[in-house]
Parts: sequence; C-alpha cells; structure tokens
Amino acid sequence: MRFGRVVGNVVCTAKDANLEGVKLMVVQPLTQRLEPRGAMYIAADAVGQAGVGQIVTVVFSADATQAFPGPQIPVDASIVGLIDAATASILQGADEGVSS
Amino acid sequence: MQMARVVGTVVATQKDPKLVGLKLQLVQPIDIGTGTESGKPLVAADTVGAGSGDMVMIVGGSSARQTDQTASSPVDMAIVGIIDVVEVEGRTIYDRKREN
Amino acid sequence: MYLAKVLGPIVCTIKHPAYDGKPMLLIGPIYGDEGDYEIAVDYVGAGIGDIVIAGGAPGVAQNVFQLDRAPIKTLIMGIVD
Repeated sequence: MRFGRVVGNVVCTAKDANLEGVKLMVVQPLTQRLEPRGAMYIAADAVGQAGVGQIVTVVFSADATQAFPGPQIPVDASIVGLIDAATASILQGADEGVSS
Repeated sequence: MQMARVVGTVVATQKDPKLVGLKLQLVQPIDIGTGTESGKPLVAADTVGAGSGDMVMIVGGSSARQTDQTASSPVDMAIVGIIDVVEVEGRTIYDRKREN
Repeated sequence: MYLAKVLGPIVCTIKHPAYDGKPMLLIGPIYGDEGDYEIAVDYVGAGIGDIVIAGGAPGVAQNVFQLDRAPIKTLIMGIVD
C-alpha cells in the first residue's frame, strides 16, 4: 500500500455496471513524509468515506480489484484506509506537526 | 485509473479471435491535475460505447479484464467510464457539458 | 521477497474490513532507492527498527489470512535474526 492525498473527484454517468455506486476520487501520490510526488490518478473509494484533503492508503492493480465484493470490478487503484491524524503528523515531521 | 481522451478508432481485421466484437479506441492520456496531455496514445478496449472526443476513464493491467466484455480477452487497457466532471482542489478540470 | 527496515506504525481510523485487527507498519527496503517505501501488514510481531522479510503477490494475503477478498499487497512474513 502507498500513501495518497484525496484532492478531488470524478463523476461518470456512463460506466461499467460494477462501478455503479462506487465513489471515484482523484488522488495525489505521496512520499513516506507525505510530500506530493508523481502524477495524480483516479482511485475507487473502497471504504466509502474518503473526502477531499484526507490522507489515505491505496492498493493497486490486482490488489485493487480485491477491495470490492463480487467476482469482478475494473479498477486498478483502490482506497482501503484513512490515515489517523496523529500518524499523519508524525510522518510529516515536526514542522508540519506544529502547524496542524 | 487514468483520464484520457478518445482521439480515434482502431480497426484490425486480422487479430486474436478473442478480440472480435471488441471496439478498440486510440486514447491520449491526460494529466488529471492539469488537464494537459501526458504520455503517448494507447489502444484501449471500449466497454462503455465512448465516441471520438469523449473524455474517458481508463483502467490498466490485469484490471482491464475485469469487465463482462473483456473477461477472457488479451487486453491490458480498457475504457470503463465516460467522464462527466472532474474536480481537483476545488477547480473544475473538466466538464462535459461545457465541451458540447 | 525483500529485506526492509520497520520505520514505524501506521494507524488508520477507517479501513477496509480485510485489515481489521492487523497491525500496519511503514517499511523501507534495505536495498532500495530513497523514497521507496511500502505500508505492510504485519502478522509475525515485528517492531520498530527490526529488519524484516517483506513481500507479496496476488493471492498471498488471501491465503495467509483465509479471506475471500484481501486488498493487501505487502506482508511482513519474517523477522531477520
């Protein structure tokens, strides 16, 4: 799993039937210090509660399809956890920890 | 998943029999943070009936086979949604209504 | 599988049910570039500073935890002596 920050969302009306009801979020990948690095991507929210600004854990490819019940779902990135605020502060280091 | 724009249709008469009946589109990946082109055009199996010019969501790797249409096909990229709206950091990166 | 050092615990307020009751640890590969990291599920009792054997492949987490669906990539499967 990797860290990401939810920065937005995507709306699709026409989509694969198994994506019905699945929230699609735009995620900025993060380093282990929670600094942005790399290109944003779309992830399916498998916990159903990821909001903009949240630090999340994400799994990819075959592991991402495992995040949803049912035989198949065409996703290659899934949000599987919301990082606790205290953990996020520690990862960001003292500078960020003071301001948050 | 990535955002991409459908830029053309790919036709192949001589092909793997398991590709028969699948519509193949040429898609240009778009950086979802900026809305600008990112990387080279790719061939994707279309499972949602997208048309030229549509902004779509593409899924890659083994996840591309997790749809009814592509389940047993030799594909590594599939179009699984037609994008209506993308919002990032409070900005509307893409709005289908404004394009048409 | 690869060798990694345990850097610290990761706590999630809300998580996928497959992660329930499983400690998550931030690990950094011993033979990796700076910036490489992974959030791994520990089932052998690793602690901060330990050198561990980490890895995973599709199907491994399902097998280890006897789950039908397991969206878990990396496991810590051993602590190096």
